[in-house]
Amino acid sequence: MTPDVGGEAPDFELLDSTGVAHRLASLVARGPRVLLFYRGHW
Amino acid sequence: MAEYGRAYEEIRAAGADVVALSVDTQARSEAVRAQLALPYPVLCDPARTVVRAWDLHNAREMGGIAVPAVFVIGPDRCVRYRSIDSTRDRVATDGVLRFLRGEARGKELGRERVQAGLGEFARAIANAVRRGLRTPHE
Repeated sequence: MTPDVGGEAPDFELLDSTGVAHRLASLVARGPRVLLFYRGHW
Repeated sequence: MAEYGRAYEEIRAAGADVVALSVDTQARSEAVRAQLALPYPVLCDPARTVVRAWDLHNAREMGGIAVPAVFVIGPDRCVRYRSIDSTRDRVATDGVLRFLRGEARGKELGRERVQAGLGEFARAIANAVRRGLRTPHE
């Protein structure tokens, strides 16, 4: 289910394009984060 | 993507930050990040783990890609805003910025038509030729 406003987003860990691992919980620890899902493939 | 790169300093000034996510491989994601000079991290989900868990997996196109969407996630992973978008229509970047500044509520953010420019179109074709149309599953 897609997390909705007021709910808790499920945590995840992914590598970025340079190979650095990021956990969602850490990305938002210091302040709000805009998370953009994009189609890619271009 | 590019719009949030251009608005990045204002987003940072509002106390927020940005991260992007797609199913693209690291090589392709890094090419996009470099081409657009994005100042924020670009996450790679080639196994489609996160897009599936978040129910944002468009299985019908190009071997499975992410549904375009914008979230604002606060500390403790609380979802403050979400917009599930399409290829033609998305939440206005300026609206998200106003939301981050506390100037607008989630339901008041405008929409904008997505129009790929000619340069973007040419780049998409060049990248498809170079890397193929499907992103391999890992």
